[in-house]
Amino acid sequence: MSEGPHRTADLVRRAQAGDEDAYERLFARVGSRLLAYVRLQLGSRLRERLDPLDVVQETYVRAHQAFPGFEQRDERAFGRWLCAIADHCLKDLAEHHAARKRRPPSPLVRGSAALARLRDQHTNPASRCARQERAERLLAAIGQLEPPEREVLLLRYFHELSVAEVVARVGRSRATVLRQLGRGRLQLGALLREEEG
Amino acid sequence: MSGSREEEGGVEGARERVDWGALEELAAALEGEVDPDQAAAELGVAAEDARAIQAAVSAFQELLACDELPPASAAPGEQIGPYEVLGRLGRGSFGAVYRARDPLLDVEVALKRIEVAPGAEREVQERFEREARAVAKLDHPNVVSIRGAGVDAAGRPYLVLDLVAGESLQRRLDREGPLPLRRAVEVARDLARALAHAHAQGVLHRDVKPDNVLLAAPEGRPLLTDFGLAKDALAQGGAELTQEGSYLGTPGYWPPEQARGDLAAIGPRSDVYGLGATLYALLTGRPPFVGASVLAILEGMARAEAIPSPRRERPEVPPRLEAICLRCLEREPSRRYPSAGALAEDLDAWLADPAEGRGSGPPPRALALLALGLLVLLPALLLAAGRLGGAGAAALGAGTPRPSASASPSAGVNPGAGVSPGAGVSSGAAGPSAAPGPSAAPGPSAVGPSAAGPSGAASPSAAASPGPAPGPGDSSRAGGPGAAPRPSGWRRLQVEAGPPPRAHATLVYDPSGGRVLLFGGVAGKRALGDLWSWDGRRWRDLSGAGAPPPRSHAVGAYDARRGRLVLIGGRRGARKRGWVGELWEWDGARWEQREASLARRLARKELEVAYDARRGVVVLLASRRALFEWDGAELRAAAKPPAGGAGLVYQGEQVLLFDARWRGVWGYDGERWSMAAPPPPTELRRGYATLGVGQEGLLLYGGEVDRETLSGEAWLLRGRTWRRLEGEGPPPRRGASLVWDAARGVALLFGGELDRRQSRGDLWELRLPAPTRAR
Repeated sequence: MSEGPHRTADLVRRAQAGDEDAYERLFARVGSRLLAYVRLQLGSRLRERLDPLDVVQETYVRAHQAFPGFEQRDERAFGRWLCAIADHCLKDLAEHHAARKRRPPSPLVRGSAALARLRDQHTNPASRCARQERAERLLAAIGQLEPPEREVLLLRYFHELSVAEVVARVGRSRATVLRQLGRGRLQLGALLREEEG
Repeated sequence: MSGSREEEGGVEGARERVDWGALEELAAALEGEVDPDQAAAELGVAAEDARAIQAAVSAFQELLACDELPPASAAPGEQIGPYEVLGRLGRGSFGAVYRARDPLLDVEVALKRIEVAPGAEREVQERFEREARAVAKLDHPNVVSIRGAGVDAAGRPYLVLDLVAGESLQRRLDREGPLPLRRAVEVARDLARALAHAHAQGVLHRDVKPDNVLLAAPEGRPLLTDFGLAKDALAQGGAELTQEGSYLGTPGYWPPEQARGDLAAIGPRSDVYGLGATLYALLTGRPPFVGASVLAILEGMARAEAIPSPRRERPEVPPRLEAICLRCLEREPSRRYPSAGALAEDLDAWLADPAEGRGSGPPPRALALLALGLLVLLPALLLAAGRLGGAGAAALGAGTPRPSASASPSAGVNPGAGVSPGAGVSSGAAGPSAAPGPSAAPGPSAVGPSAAGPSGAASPSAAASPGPAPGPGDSSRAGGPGAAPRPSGWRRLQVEAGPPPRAHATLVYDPSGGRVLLFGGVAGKRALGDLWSWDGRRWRDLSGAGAPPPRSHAVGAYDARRGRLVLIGGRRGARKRGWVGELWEWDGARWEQREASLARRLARKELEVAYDARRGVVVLLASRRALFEWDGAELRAAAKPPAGGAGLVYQGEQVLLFDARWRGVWGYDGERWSMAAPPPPTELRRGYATLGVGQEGLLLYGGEVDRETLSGEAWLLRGRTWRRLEGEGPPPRRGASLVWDAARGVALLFGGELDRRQSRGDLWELRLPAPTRAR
């Protein structure tokens, strides 16, 4: 992961300077993690009615629209920003999903090569690789965590927040957050090893 | 798993003294390149815990690892099909463009490879091939020609294009800023001709912008590229869209209908918008809408923000040129130039006479403000018809002359001695002050502000200079004798071969092909079932297998939303008495009979039909008293119409009906009918009538059958004012078909009958007087 954020930040800079290739790569990079995040956040009830890929697409549309105004404060800003947009989308879609059908196609869906690939991986079992199988297991395991542990882990890993930032965000003590993070990881590790073993 | 609380409590109890901070540190350390055992030992974490943490962290790392796209670029030396890549030229909307060598012919070509998402190859290929075939038909000096197409080893389609030495118009703008006025107009004019050519072939560009224009070295001939490639991305929508590689549009050049995703409304006038936006950028250095983000741009367009006046950006832009530019950029497609050809003519007219002596009307936006609902309230200017030449439609944009200007008809109509051939084309362009004199004839791109200054003390040099380094296409420009100005009024078109005489044919304008279609009708007692298309010059017989059987009184409309000619009903020939209620659709290639169950509902004696473009439905008036709507799937009854409709037409966002008792014009907005205009002031009280539209006016051809004699009158309604179109016109006939040919800006009248036995087969063209611009 050491190189990842740096390269992402570099792509953000190039994309903002108008490099379309960088732009496409940037959004392709974050596709599967965004999808994973959305799936985790959707919850089982909503998941039946909302296709996580639709949420990802909606997130992309909004992200593309807002991208020129995105300020990259640090190397992890992009992932955090995208998760925040996804949160908004989830909230909006959860509120409106009863009233709306599928979002009308927007001519603004850039990064669509990445989306297409995601969709393919997501819907076509044959194209899944071992890596995706492992990802599925992790997602399933995270789904089994208690909500507080799950929340802090998502903030830590998907939003890429520091411990101090997580503390500020969830409004619990540092000790509590550290315990929840640690316990969450231990449980995940146990679950994953259990399955492998 | 250890799901229960108790168990968890037990675990926690056993970990009373676990140092959570150390675990966090370990987790952070494990993200980097460290030895797990060593790190665990250093932090005092139990080996068992360390292994669990490591499993969790590496699972997260793998999940969060970034996906990388395979490199899209081909490296020099790589093969794409049989072509050898020499280098990359740039990156377009749909992939990279390479300089490549054709090994067989040993020539260099440009090769554009389309990026396809994995899994979508076959689908994209099929569409791509269809598109490539359409574009391959284009042959124009201002269009980059396709040399071939293929699919590479990885299934990615590619196009092989002429290699154009030069730079893109966008690069030129970035490098040097706005173009000299004259040069800007010449470029726009050439591009308009290219678009007119493409539209005539049924090909839309859909993404006209400076990025897609190449300036060929050395003389800088503009070449339009990337034709139609945006089509599928836009038209397919939804899932297909996302599988289409990326659609990287430039919203600053998008017409509003495209920006709001109204795909049905995209047509030739959308390209006119793109070209207008390009002209705007050539004049001012930037597109009409700019914003901090795509969203801001779209919002600006959605709020109908006014486009900043080009003159404010660049004061030397003459008002008339600004008016041309802004007319292309009207939000409402119907207010733009009807065709790229009409725009080209206006630009030519400006080039011939950039002077601003007189007659420049207010910009179209002002005109729009005058619009009262559907029709623009305008004093008609028919008496000036004699001097209103040229393509009637073209006259609209370039400020039309005020009545006083008509005092010097010769200026406009006769290409005077010093006037270049192109000058005569425009109606409004030439005026008293335009009388060209000798001049220093500055080079094409060296037009100083004085030449175009609003003072009117024009140096008409421009008119005398034929234009810049003529390209091969110049002969086809408006300079030819065919472009001589034509006055408004009727003209019989001499056609070598065409449909045989008939009455009650249905004439339908097909906006996707810029052509007029004719189907069926009756000649004496014989019903006809042939299909013809008229492109402004000749008829083509499109009758083919699978066509609907002959019928005498079918009616048709073109459903622009679905791209189909809809043909409804009609009486069969005399022997087979009775009314046919079939509904057929023609998609440009094949006929298909829709729902046979409709037959009974549609088997009516008299039918009138119009396509309501605003709502995207075909509106059908049956037996003068029942109204239906056909949306392509279902036929629904609609609001009861006023009694006795004799003609139906769509104009100004509503469907208009002309009352058979000649009591007036009614408008239907999709919900209710209301009186839109009074009847024409004629002696006729009852009679047949056909409706057409044209240039912000409603056209009526109708008359009375008085035993043996037949009368025929043509009327034009603008605002609430009717004007009779006088002068030599077609002899009276009943059952003629009238249609507005938007591509050429004229109304067409075909056929009709003198009496029961004798049908006519002549084709008449009606040029309408340009509306005046009331201040």
